[in-house]
Amino acid sequence: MNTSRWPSRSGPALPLVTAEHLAAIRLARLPGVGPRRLRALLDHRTPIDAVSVILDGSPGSEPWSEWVPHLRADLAKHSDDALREQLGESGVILRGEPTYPAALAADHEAPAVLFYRGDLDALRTRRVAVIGTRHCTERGRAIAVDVGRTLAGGGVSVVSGLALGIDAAAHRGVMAAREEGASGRPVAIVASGLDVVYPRANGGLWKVVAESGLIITESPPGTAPDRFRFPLRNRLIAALGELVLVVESRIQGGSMITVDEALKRDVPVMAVPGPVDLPVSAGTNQLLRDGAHVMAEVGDVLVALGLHAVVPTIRDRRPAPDDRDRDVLAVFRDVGPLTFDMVVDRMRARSTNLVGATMTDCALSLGRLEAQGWIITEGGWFELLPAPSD
Amino acid sequence: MSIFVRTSTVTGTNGRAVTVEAHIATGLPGFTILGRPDDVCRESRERVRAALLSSGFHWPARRITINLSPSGTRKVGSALDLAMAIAILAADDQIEVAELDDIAFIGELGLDGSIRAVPGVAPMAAVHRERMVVVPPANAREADIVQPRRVEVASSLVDVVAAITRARPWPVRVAEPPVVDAPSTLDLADVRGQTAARLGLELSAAGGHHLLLVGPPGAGKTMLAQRLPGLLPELDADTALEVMMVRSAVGESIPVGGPTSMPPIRMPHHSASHVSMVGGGSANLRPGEVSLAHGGVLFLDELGEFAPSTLDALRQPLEEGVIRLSRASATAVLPARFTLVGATNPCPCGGGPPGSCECDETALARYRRRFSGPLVDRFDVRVVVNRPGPDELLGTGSSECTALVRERVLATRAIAIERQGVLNARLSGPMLDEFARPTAAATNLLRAELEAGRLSGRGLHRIRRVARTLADRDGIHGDVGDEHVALALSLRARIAARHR
Repeated sequence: MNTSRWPSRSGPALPLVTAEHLAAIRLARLPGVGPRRLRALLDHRTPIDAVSVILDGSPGSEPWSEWVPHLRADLAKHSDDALREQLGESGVILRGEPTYPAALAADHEAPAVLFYRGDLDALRTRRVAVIGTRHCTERGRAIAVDVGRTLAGGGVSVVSGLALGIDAAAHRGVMAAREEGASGRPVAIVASGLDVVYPRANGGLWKVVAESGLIITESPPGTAPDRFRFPLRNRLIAALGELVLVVESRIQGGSMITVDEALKRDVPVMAVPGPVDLPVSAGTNQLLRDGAHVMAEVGDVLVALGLHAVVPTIRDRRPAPDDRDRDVLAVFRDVGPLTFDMVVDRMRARSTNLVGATMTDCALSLGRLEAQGWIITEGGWFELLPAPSD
Repeated sequence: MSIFVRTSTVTGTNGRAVTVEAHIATGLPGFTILGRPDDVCRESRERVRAALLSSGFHWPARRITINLSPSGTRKVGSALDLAMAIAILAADDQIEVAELDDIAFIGELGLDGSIRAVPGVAPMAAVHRERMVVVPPANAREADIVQPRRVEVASSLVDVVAAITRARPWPVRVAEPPVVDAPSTLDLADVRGQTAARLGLELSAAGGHHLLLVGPPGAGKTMLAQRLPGLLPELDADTALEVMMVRSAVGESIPVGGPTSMPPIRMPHHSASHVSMVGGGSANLRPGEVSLAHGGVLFLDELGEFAPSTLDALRQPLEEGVIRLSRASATAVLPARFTLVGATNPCPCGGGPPGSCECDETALARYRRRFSGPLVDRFDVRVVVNRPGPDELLGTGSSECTALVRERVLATRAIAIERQGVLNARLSGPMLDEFARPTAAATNLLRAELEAGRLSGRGLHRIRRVARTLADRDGIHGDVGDEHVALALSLRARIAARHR
């Protein structure tokens, strides 16, 4: 597993790590201890107390007795200094401490311990969770980037899971807006330990988010991205958003788990409508049918927060396609991605040209439309791109 | 006394003349074979002895020595049985043959004295063109195609002895049915829709481009590939003969009427072993699938499921048109010039349009790694194939038939051969600059793709080669225009597209 270290940064001092924090790390690393057990363990006692209670072996407290050898081994093997070393620049917060995020404090499944990198102030503003499938279309990616930019432009923190696809695109949008001076910040909730970058492909983004925003996890350092941790992570995304926006999702998947968690917490859900024949729009369309808010344009998400002022005007700066290309562009309206075959067949249905001529014309038109930013091609599939907002 | 009898053995698709020397002398009765026989060949002792006895001859109760020369060549298989039997009979003075040196004997003996078919008769007969060749009846057509002075068939040792001692004439060959060169029944007209894939097939046939079909299961990739041989020109006489030599060497039957001019198609399953693909295995270096596909099409369905080493071994044939097999005991150069057609799913889950893939990143990365590398770079034309929709399946509109497309293919090939002497697929970098210059508009298009990072250096060459074929197809002899480049760009399919 990747245990890449963070380059040390001169500047703000390292977060203060107390003996209670170190005890909490030891408890969180015990085998079989997840967020729920940790919460039960630390419900009425401090971590140091909990450690001594376990070691004293209070009677009738299965499975606590099973943890005794693990805890003893951990104490013998890892010194406090080694734990501090492993934490690096990460900080630890216990529930009840003053820095504990207010948005989580009242949650019925609030984590007992949080690990974070970056600036906790990123949670002290308006927050929107932007989520969606990892296997998104180019259209979904473009929308997510746009939403990220717009929210950051409005000073809103964008909460997401730092997964591939929609998650990464939303944060890329935030970073793009920040380069242009926007104040909104990226907030990532991850499933693994902070020293275990996952997915590897997002390593660069992971670092950038920590530097300009905040990364949070319930998992102690060194924790692998186990499958069971992702649904748990998703509840935190739902809890931290004032609004959950689903850009693209299938009928089932992680995004739908997040939506369920949001509904449990009375967090409003907004969804982006999509073509009826697109698997990754099936989930969002289902949400809309069930009564989720509609994001018909990017500004809707700001309006939902009551931030009317900063709705960006969408000015399409793309050159207008000429007559030939407009016909080809029209083929893409209200459908998902198309292969070259499909484009040619649809164009043939509209003209009397021979196949050969239609193919050549389509190829030329598609080339021009792609150069102008109207469509995008990936692996033999062509897709319509939404207009980028300013 | 010593007797010399002519026969041959086979290595790869090359026949090698072998002389069987028989020597019978006083001494302890025994039978020894010298001269590097393999296991099957060594077993000849028992077959020859039994065949002689059941045919009514005596087994000399003396010391028999058989030497197979040249002794450096490994003698493989049972085709030498007949020659050994004749040699023993002659050496023991049981028969007298006038022109023994003018006859070559090829065939396996049964214990009852019958003569049985063997693989590789065409290459074996080819080294005895100036002689009369005696072969098993089932192998007669194979001997015919290399045109020795005479071909005689005999189904038993008794018949052979009677004929060579002039006691009886050679048995009459059973009249064969008239030549029917069965035309392929697989016509392009059966393919519904698939506009891009049809064009891909045509380009592959017209430019000699290797073709990759990328699409979900059930999209019709196999159906398309099977229709490629029908688009290819007929084999020339030399290639047709090479194809027959290969087929004879692996023991496949030769079609009635001699060499067929139909290009072959081979479709090995992805569990095919390395040896079955490239050839080798036994000491006679049996030709593999790459040689059986010589002159035609090698179709690898589920390309990603083949062992990487097996795919790697395809590089030499793809580059040189031959496969060189080299073993401690023998070496052989076998013909292997074919059009490679690969088919694969776009990703492990079967794929589909963007957003429908359900693979996780590690599975995708593994899949992608399998397809990286030099082999996949050989595919000039890569087409997305989709499952045809209900309208296409039920539609009555007929699509172009093989004959029509083939006509265009032949014309396109002629243009390329006349211009540069080779098919467009074999255009190297400098040749592309000479024969496939892009127009200004086409250059702009290519530059935009390169600058946007959508085209690699290698990809650029592929696009230019395919665009050249597209231009030739339109009868354009000059520079390659932007319409051809745009069409070539539109056909690109990708395997295991990266998630971001």
